[in-house]
Amino acid sequence: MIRQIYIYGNNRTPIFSRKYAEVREVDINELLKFIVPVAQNLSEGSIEHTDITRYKISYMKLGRFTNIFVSDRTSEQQRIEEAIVNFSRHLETMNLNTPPTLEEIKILEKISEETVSLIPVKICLVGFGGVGKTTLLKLLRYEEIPLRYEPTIFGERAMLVIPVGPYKAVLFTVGGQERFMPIWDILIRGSDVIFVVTDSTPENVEKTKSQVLPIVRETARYARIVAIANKQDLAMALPTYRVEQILGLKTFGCVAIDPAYREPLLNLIKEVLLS
Amino acid sequence: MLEEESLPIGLIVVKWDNKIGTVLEARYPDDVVVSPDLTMKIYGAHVLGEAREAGFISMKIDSLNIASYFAGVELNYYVALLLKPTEEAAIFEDALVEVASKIFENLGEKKYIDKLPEFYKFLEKYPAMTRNQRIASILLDPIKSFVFRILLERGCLTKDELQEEITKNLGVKTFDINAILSSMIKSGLVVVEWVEGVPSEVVFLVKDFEVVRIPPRAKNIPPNVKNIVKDFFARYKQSPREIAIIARAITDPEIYEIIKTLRSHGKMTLKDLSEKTEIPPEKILDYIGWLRRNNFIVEIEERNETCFYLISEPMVITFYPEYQIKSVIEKYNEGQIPARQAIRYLMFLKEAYGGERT
Repeated sequence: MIRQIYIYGNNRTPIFSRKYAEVREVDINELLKFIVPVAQNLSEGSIEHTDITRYKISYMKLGRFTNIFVSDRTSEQQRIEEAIVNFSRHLETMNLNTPPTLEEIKILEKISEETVSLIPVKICLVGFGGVGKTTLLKLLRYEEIPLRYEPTIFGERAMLVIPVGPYKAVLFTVGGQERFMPIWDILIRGSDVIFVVTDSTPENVEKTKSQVLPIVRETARYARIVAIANKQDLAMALPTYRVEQILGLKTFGCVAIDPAYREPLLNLIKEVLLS
Repeated sequence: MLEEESLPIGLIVVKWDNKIGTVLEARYPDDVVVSPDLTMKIYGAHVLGEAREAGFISMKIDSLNIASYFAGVELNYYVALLLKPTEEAAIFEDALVEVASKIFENLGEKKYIDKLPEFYKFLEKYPAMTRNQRIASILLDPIKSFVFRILLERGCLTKDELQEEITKNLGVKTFDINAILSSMIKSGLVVVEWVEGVPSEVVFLVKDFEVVRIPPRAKNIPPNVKNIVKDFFARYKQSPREIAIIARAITDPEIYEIIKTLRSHGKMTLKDLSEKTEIPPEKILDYIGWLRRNNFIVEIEERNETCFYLISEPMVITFYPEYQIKSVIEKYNEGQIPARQAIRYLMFLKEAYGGERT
C-alpha cells in the first residue's frame, strides 16, 4: 500500500504532498532531505527504491517533477513502479503552475487518491481449523454468519465491502486443517496485515504460538501482525490480556458470531492499516 | 456419423497474484460462469502437492469435473477445462497439456486470447481422435514437429539438449518439455528414461512415422474417376506443404469424417454426405471446397446430379526405425553419446522391433 505521496519541483521545491497513512519508526521529513537530491539527479524516467525498516521509498524524475512514493515493503515493486510511472506521466501532461493553483491541487488530490487506491491491501486471517476465520470474514463483509462448521478448502478470498480510507482491501482466510498448513505461505505472502486467529482456549493459543506464528513471521516479515482472541463467550476462553501475554502480540478479544463486534473489528483494521 | 463428442463447458486461463489471489485472465466461451471460489479451489489443488510443480490434475469441484494444467509456481498460471459431471476429465490430459503449453508461450500481451476459440474446438474434438490422428497432429505443431525432426536426426538425446535445441532454433523460451513429449510417449513414438551417469533424462525415438497420400480404397470407382486418380498420382510429389495438408486432412475431425464416409460409400451427393456425417449443409461446403482444392475429392456431374468421389486418401504409417541401429553405433564410436546411453537405446530398439504398418 502507498502511504504517502510527495511531488517536488526543480531545486527541491515541495509542490504537493498527501499522507494517507502514517509512517512510524522513521522520520520521513529527515529522510526526504537525503532522498530528494538523489532523486533529482536520476536520469529522466528511471526509478529507484530505498528500503528502510518496513517501508519502501520509490522515486522517479520525469520532466519538471520528482515524485516520491512511500509504501509498505509488503507491496510488490512492480506494482509500485507501474503506479509511479502512470502518476508521473499524468503529471507531465498537466502543465502545472508552481506553486499549483487551488484548482490544480484538487486535481492532484484526485490523481493521488486514484493512484493509491489502485494497489489493493491484503489482509489475511491465519489460524487453525474451527477458530472462526470464515465467520470473521462473513462478519466483516456483512454476510450471514454460518452456524454450521464447514472446513475451508485451500483458502477463501473476498473484498472488504467498506474501503479503508482510500484503500480497497482484500480479505483472505487460510484453510485451517493441518493438511493445508504446507501451503499457507502461498496465501500469506504479500499480506499487509495478518490477523492471527485463535479460539482463546489455552491449547489453541499455545499451538498458535508454536506453530502458526513462526510461519507468519517467516513468510511475511514486514506485515503488521495482530491477534484475534475469538470465542471469548466460551467458558474455557482465556481473557484477551492473557492471550496477548502468551502470543506477545497486540490482541483483540472477539465473538465473531455476534454482529456487535463488526464495527470494532472494522475500526481495528482501519487503525492497523492507517496508523 | 461422428462419434459421440465430449462437450466441455468452458476453457479458462487463470493467474495467481500474491495480492489478490486468482485472477481470471481469459475464458471461452465469453458467457461461461466462473466463480472466484472455483478458481481458488483449482489453484489450491495444484499447489497442494509438496513440489508445487507444473502438471496436470483432474478433479471434481461442486457439480463440475475439471481438467487443469498448471505451469508451476514460477509462472503461476493454470489453464482449466470445465466439464459436465458426466464427462471424464482425465481423457483431456494430452490435449489440455498441448493447449496450455501454447497459451503459456504467448502470455505476453495476452497474445493467446484470439486463439482461444481454436484451442477450444481442438479440445472438444480431441476425445474422438484416433491414435493415428493424434500422431499426425504432431506435424501441425511447430515445436512438436521440430522435436520429432531432431529425434529423427539424432535418435536419442537428453531433455536438456532438446530444450536447448528448441530455444536455439525456434527462439521459444517458455515451454514445458514434458508437455511437448507427453503425446509422443503415449503414442509409443518415444521412450523417456534416466540413464546412469547422464545428468538429464534421455529421450529415445523407438518408432518413426510418415503421413502419406494413397489412392482411394473405395469400391466401385467409375473408369473416368480412376483416370483422374492415375493422372494425379503420375504427377504427385511430396513437399513440406503437402505434408501439412495431409496432416490437416487426418486431424481435422470433420474433414476426416467426410473422407471416411466417402471411402465406405464410394460416391455421394452433397445432401447424402451432410446427412451421413451430420455436418450441417452450410458448413460442409467449406470442407468440400478444401478437400477439392487439395485433390482429395472430385466433383462429377452424373444424371443431373453432382456427385463426389475420393481421388486420394491421407494415411499415417508408423514403422520401426531400423536406420537408428547403425546410427547409434556410429554416434557411440565417434564419442557423441556415452556407452550406457547407446546400450540403453539399442535395448529399446530391440524391444520395439516388430513395428507395425497402419
